[in-house]
Amino acid sequence: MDLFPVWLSLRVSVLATALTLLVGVPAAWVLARKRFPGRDLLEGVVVLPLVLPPTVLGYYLLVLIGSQGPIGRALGAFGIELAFTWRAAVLAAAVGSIALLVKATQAGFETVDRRLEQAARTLGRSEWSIFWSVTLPLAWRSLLAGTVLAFCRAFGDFGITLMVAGSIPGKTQTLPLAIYDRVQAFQMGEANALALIAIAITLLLLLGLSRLARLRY
Amino acid sequence: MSKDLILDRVSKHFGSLWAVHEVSLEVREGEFVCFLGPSGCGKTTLLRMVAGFETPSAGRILHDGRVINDLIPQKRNFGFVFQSYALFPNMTVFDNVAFGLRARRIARARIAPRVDELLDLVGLRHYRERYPAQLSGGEQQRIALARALATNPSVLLLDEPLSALDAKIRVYLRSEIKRLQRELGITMIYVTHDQEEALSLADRIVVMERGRVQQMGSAAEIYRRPRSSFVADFVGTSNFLDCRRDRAEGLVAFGDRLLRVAQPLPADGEQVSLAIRPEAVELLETPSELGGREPRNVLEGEVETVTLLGAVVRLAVLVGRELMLVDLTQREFDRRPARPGDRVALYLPPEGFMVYPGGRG
Ligand SMILES: Nc1ncnc2c1ncn2[C@@H]1O[C@H](COP(=O)(O)OP(=O)(O)OP(=O)(O)O)[C@@H](O)[C@H]1O
Ligand SMILES: [Mg+2]
Repeated sequence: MDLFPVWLSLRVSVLATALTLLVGVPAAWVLARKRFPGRDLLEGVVVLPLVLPPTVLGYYLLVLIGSQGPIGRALGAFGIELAFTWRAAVLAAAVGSIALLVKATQAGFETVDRRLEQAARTLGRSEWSIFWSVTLPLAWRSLLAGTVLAFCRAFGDFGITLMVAGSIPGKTQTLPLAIYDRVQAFQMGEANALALIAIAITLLLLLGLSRLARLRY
Repeated sequence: MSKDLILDRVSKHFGSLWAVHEVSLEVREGEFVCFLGPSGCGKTTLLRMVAGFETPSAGRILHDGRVINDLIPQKRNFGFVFQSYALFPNMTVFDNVAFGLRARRIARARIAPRVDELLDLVGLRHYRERYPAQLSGGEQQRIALARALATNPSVLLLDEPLSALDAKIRVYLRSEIKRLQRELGITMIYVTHDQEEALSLADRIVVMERGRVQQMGSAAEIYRRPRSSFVADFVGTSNFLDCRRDRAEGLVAFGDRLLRVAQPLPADGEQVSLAIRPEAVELLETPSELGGREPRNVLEGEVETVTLLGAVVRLAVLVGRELMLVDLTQREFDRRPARPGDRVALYLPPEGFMVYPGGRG
């Protein structure tokens, strides 16, 4: 049996989750702590991927990164191709899952008592240092939960990936796409095996999460 | 030049609400000042502006001759103690106290001795390795004090630091805070709604009402000469008598009675409000035994309740339709015990009154 889709999916969702963390944690902090014009709009934009049909998301993403799109053309100038590569699958998985991470993390930051941060300020610590030593350690449970949810969502993405990366066997065919492909080809045995692997990976993650969540700080 | 803190017509509004309105005052270096006032009067908002958590809508805050309105809290070097302690729950007592020291480029080797020194100061060195959740409220607040003092702040700001604690600990920690302030000579601004706390701690009390300063002065000044009926009511306890001006000099009409008042009456207005402290009211042995007292100022009434308040006994006496509070020392009470239902004669000395214009706001 070809296990390529499993490895590809793992690689794609790990990278997508990393990307999500990089963008999502600062966004969650800004949403939890700052009041500024356009904040509601930003919050709406963050949630949008959760409620829009994946094909709609995928379509607009493709418009952006396609060879004629603004991002696609800019990257093209450096000889980097994005659409219909595994990198596009990373982007697709990240777009599909970032809302879960931002929402969970934002909620976590919001439960951190502002007075702790204020106390830290009077003690002379910089905002950066306060984030790492006070805010984040007190919100890590929510951050972790958000990360695992985002990972699982990225791991399972179908629609957006199909739109921007296609389903090219041995290149961009992730595990969910491969299952669909096998079913279409009546290879039920392989479809079954892949589905079980997907369940096992997800279950393992969720178990690990509940283990970790029992730790104190 | 000493490091005085000056508030110059400082105001703060939230929407259309003026939480603090044109507050001007000076806090001298080493002084212990209390902001005292009822809930919602703007004490916390004022303190938070001094700390730098809020920016004034108008006015200036100066420290050491510099305007600090827009200075971030990190650069002010003012300590802050919250009612809720606000210890970092994810850090040990040691790490909490060391937190501010680690921001300054202090050699690692000098941090531990400094932390121990502060833990000794609050008497909790043996709790170094504990987490805040493993301490009582009083202990947590002592750690919060140590944490705030660790960086040698030039001003320590305390927002109702003892309000969440029970009465015994409160009185004990109050004296601890006073001791620390004396020993370290640090400037403190202490916010409270508890007048007893303010009277016992402060060099100077700032009484606030609805965002404004009502009166500023020493505890004795505020207690003996409250400038408004609000202050007379809020600081200590007062009996109020709504009276009318009488044609005769020095007399006011209280119902169908005339009372003599030693203080000059306000220049105008028909209504006069008299206030008298419960301890200024005397309980006469018999109505006829005046012994040189002003005969007009004797009121008769019936004892409603007798309450033991520790050192004093408080009687509530119904005079006409007004309830008058009378405080007696235990010894006075033993000499002339009173029970609910007793008819008694009260004497209100003319010089015991505080006089305010109008009816009570
Ligand atoms: N961030 C805020 N937004 C809107 N209104 C506020 C804000 N902070 C305080 N207020 C209002 O300003 C007024 C003064 O509040 P403040 O907290 O200063 O009162 P306080 O004297 O400390 O009262 P307490 O004794 O209850 O703590 C209140 O009416 C309060 O509702
Ligand atoms: Mg307050």
